[in-house]
Amino acid sequence: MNYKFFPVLCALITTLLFPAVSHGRPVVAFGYLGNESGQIDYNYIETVFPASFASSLQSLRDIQVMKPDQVNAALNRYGATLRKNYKTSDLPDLAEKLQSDVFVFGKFFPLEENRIKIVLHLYVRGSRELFTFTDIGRMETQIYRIVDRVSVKIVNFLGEPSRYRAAAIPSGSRIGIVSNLNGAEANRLYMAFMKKDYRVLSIQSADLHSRIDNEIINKFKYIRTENNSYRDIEDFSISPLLTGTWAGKGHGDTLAAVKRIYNVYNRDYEKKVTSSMKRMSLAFNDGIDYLMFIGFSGSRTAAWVRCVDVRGGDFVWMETGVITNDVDPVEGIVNGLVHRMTDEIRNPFESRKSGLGR
Amino acid sequence: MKLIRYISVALVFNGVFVMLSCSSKQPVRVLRQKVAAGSGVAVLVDGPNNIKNVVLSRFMGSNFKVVAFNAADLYAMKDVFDIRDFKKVSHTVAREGDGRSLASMERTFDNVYKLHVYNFEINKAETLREIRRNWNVNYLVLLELKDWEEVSWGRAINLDTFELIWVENYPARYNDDPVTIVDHFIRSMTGR
Repeated sequence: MNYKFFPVLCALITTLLFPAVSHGRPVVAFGYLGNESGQIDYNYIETVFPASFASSLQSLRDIQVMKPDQVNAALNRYGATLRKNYKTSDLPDLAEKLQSDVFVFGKFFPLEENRIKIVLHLYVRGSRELFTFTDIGRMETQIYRIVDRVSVKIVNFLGEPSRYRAAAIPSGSRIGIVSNLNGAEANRLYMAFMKKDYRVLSIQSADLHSRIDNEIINKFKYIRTENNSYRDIEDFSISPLLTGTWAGKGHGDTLAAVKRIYNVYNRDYEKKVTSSMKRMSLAFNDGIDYLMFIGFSGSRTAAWVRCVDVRGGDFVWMETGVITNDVDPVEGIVNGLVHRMTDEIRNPFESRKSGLGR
Repeated sequence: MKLIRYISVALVFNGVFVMLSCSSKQPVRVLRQKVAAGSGVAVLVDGPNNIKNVVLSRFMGSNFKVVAFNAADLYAMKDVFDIRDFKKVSHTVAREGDGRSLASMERTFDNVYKLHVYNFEINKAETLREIRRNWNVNYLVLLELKDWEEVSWGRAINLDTFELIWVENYPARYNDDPVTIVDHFIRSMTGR
């Protein structure tokens, strides 16, 4: 027998088996859904909804969930308790303590006409990125729909590629596109959308040359609007902004300017975006529906997309890790995007429920 | 062995490059709405000055009302500021050697830049609206003939709707010169 290949065979078997051994089912930990109403009658929702999301998620995917009481017990081992709210900068450490792949927490606000607004934050361990989305629905009669809808959004976000879509973006919509493509290559992008009956507006397409290159487009990967956001975690409080008796007036003025810039362009950034979207809508005579940011990789065979509903002012669609094997990668990527953006959002629970009802 | 590995890597890269350059040279054309004959057009051309004159004369010869217009009439993003300028400020404020502190400041300045891009597009839309209203220009036409011996491209925008109505990438043929290419573009956008 020839033993020459034995070490290679061993290595291959180990490689194939290793992921199965080291990676169990992904763990999703649920924190509280903080009651922001100030009415204690609603406090029960703080744990009922997260527990419902957890059960619903488990029925959709093979995952392990931790409900708020389990999360609290896990934190007790570190002498901590589960809080209703966390600063974004607390999340990396929290997820490490819990050893959970994802930590989900949020808050809710009861609205008029028996409706409820739910804001959920998703933190993936090790990512230093936070995804936040908002859902509004009716209590009582439609409570299961809220749970289903939110669970589907969580599952899609955790999928490969990672996706979030609040609503379908139908063909015929008027879209502005910002990308890192230029000239003839950008024409391929516009053509792909135009062939699918989207109306492409003069945003960036009215430039002979765009300044947005492979580096700059990545600034748009993170997007923050009033209700939904995808952001990386940073904490201004760790910037020391040192000062003292040694500092002159110039230094003090610089620090004051930096703080002002931070407050306006970071802390209150969402307000600025809302105002910009309103102005954009006016500038285009109310004729722009969506603003899209598409970042292509250097080889153009991979891309991400973010999309803002200009009238609503919120970010409504994102996909990360979109890939293609098409001969024309730009058209291949766009065809895939168009297929998914026009697709009506289906509820995978509907078929199960109708099946049960038969 | 190493040499073979290098050669295979080079061949893969070469293959990807050839695939990409081939796809970017493929002809592309979409015409959503014809550019009406005799309408007012503002033509932005990227290419040598003698070619710019050729372009304008061919448009005038095709009975378009060509309005004197230069790309510099639209303010360019690079005229305002460069995102790279902010890096210095971020490094000044951030704690030395602390990547998280630096990231926090850089993110703030990224936001400033993103708002700047929004404002740039808003101002451009307002400028295009002014051009439509004050100069009676119906369409903005962009042509790049810098590499006309390889691929030229063009776009037309309807200034009433801000909508892109025509795009074309045109790889040069054996007998082509700037005049035949511009004539081709005019025929293509007018649907003749």
